[in-house]
Amino acid sequence: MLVALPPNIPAVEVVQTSGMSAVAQNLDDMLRGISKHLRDSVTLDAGLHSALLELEALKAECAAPNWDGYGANALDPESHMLAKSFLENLPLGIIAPSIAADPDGQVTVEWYKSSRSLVSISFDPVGILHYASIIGSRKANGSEPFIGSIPRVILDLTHKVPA
Amino acid sequence: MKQDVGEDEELARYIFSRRQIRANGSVKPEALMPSPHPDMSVTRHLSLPENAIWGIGEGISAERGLPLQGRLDLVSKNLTKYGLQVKTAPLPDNENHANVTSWPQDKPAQKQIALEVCAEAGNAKRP
Repeated sequence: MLVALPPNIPAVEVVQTSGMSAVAQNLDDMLRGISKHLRDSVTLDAGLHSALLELEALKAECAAPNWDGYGANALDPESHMLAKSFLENLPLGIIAPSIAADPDGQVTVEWYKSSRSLVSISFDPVGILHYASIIGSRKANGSEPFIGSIPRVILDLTHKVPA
Repeated sequence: MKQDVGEDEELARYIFSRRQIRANGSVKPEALMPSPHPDMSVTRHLSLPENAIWGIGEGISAERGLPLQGRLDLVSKNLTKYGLQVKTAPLPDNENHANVTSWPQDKPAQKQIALEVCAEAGNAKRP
């Protein structure tokens, strides 16, 4: 079950700072610590907890090739790790995505409201996020590197899919 | 002899993974993604009655040891308008088999087409 934060609790987004100074690094560490502390509260982030459980279930379901009946690759462990890191770095309070796999063995996550409001992201084991979306009459797709922080273009798309 | 697949022909894509069908019955793009293969496998309806179309899916299900979760019916022209091609590829146990070919090489473009096709196709039918 996906659970959103109550409306009186604003979404908390941790943005990785680009500064290289010790102060910037300390600030970054502090923000990540706060984020982790908040995440440890299941009541605050039950949706994320559920998504992580789904990710582990997917690993078991797609452990052997041909899980789709059409010769799919087994789930790629590197893709699984990237997806886990991605989920753990989502802004607090965001609705958790659903979890699935592509036939090439890459984990996918999806935010879906309707057939005209959705975002799908695949986790390439080399550290790339491949995304495609339909938001009303607008379509967007592309690839972005994932090195710990979620690319802004992808966060923006997820925010456009209504809860 | 090979036949051309007509623009208005209906094609069935059988689905064997429960995760590829959403709770509301719509189909996720993963169900249409060709990679790691170059093509996506479908079955032409032609003049087959409904129970025969399901029968082919059940046969594949038994052969592969996976439960048949549903099928998505597609119209050929809703694939070809994205630059894809539908080519007959009869198999010994499925003479209505066809391949959807000419997918773009890059994955985001493949995903976008799969999203669009699923959005237009509606919900999966359940066996």
